[in-house]
Amino acid sequence: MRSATKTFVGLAGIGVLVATAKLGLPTATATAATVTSDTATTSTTTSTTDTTTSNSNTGTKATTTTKKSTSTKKSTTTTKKSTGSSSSTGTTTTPTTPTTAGVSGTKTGSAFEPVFGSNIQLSVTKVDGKITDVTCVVCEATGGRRGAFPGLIQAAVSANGTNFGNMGGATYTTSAFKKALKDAIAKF
Amino acid sequence: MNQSAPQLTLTPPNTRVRLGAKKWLQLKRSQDIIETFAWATVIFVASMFFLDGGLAKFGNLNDILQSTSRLTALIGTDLLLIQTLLVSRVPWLDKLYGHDKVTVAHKKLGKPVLYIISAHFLASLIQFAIADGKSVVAEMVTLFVSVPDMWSATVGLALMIVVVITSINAARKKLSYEVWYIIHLLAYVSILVAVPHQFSTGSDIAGKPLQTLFWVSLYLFVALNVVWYRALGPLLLNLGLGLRVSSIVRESSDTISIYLSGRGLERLGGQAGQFYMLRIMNAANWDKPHPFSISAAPNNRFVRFTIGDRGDFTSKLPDLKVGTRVFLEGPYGVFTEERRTREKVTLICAGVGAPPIRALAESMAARPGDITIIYRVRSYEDAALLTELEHVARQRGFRLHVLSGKRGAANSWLPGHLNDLPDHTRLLEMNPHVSESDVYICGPGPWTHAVEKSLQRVGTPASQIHAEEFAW
Repeated sequence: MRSATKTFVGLAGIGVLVATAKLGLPTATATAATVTSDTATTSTTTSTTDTTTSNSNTGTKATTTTKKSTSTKKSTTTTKKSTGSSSSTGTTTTPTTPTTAGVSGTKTGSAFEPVFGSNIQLSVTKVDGKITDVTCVVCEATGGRRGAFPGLIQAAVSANGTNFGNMGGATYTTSAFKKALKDAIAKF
Repeated sequence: MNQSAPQLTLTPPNTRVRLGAKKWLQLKRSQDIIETFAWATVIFVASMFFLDGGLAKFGNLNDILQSTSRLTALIGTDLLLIQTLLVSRVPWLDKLYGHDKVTVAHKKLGKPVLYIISAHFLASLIQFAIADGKSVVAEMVTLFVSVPDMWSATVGLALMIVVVITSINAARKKLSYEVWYIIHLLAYVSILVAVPHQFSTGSDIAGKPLQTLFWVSLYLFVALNVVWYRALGPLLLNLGLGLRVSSIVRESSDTISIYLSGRGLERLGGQAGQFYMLRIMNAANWDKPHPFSISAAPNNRFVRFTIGDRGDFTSKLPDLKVGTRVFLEGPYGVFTEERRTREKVTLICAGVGAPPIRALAESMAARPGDITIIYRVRSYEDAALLTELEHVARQRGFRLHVLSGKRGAANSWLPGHLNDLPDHTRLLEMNPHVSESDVYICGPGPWTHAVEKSLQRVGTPASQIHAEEFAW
């Protein structure tokens, strides 16, 4: 490479890297959910950041955001509980609006033998053929990997299936989650 | 041994060659484009990782390991694919850089790629072990059993380590070429078994359309180039040509010429100064390709290689049967008129470096007196192709200097009896126009460097010096 080209490519390269690094910083959410030993903190942080991002346009203040995130978290927990109780009967179908063309309803996948502490059974809700909610019937993982579940659920909903990337640091939790998700989707 | 050589008829010179300094600029521009593209792929994978928030996760040890693992995986794989492309002998790289430079780049890149990929392995393993509170060994077992494609990826890394270790100079000297070659083929296996885990468990491809497009096309591009230019293309060409040994002729005390004949030789498409990988298709040699330069300008009557006795393989060549099938892979190399920018040319060779110089002398168009040939030999008995060079020089009006005799001073490229004057003075004596000519040098490495030094002393620009060493 001639030295002029080298300088140009070098500077342009550094420019692109710096620009993307800066752009990448605030949007570090969905796929970037970190797994640490402190599960509670992680999930709270994640949802806080989420809300901040979605509300950043309207300029909501930090205090409101925190409140919102807490409420979101509470509601999620309730859903989890309710699904958990209903799943004891096996597969349940909730009737939905009949006007929609695609498949709608909630199906629960079968339980798998726990593999290395990842014991996952999921329940999937579809509206008009699209996944709108994924809830845990059983979601157990070792070493603080429980913190990965909110991120995985979000990824599953936005990918409308199992086509999403590995959750960093929770590789086999991700693969167990995908297996459970696939099984639940297959029930439709 | 068959003594009847086809009668020496010179192929008319190639008058279509363009000259001028613009050629050099165009070459540099093309090289810049290719290299910029290569760097762009590295920048792309890194910037996509940053866009994904990669940099946001450098908070604690766990995050650092995780981000390191992802980034090294992306860059390592990208470089690994470039590394593979460098050895696929694609003509568009060979034409711009020459086979030797591409091979050197491939050798240089080998170890860094392995280090980067090993860093990926260690970072992810340690990160998993810390997150799980397990020992590294226990964590590895867990990963093998429970995560898809993880064991095959580890096998891939192990193979890669074997390939690099056997290619380190010290190990390379102890292994025969054949053993080393077979081991080196494992590199392809190592890539193939490591690919799946990138797509199935990696964080940076699944569900990301742009990245998926990039990686799938990169893999396909490299795979197609390798399969076509290393295997399928040469195979089809050779099946069509049906090359066979038509005669073997002794040229000097330790040199022979092998003539090959076949159907439609113009399809080989080589130029004077280029070389082919020669495969003798008999039971003992079909799997051992060796590089040889053609020693006569390309023509539709025969392909000729002039080969000195330099070891196990070459010493057995005189006993080759007429009619033996031969496969050629190539042509390779940029020791050709593609690199010529001047009207005047100086051709310099030593010993077994003569064949490509002989072919170049035959095919170069020039006015009488514009080409000077310098041929360095130990003795006249050893001087292969000398009568032919004399013939070409007489016919075309080129000057020919034969420098015969034992070596003198250690750093001199001239015979001992000419060491009374400095080498570059002798060079100017033989060709006063050497600084305004394109110089083609073919000989052993240290000798070539000595010639290059003399050329620099008399002011020949580096862009006009074209050298090809035997080492490959």
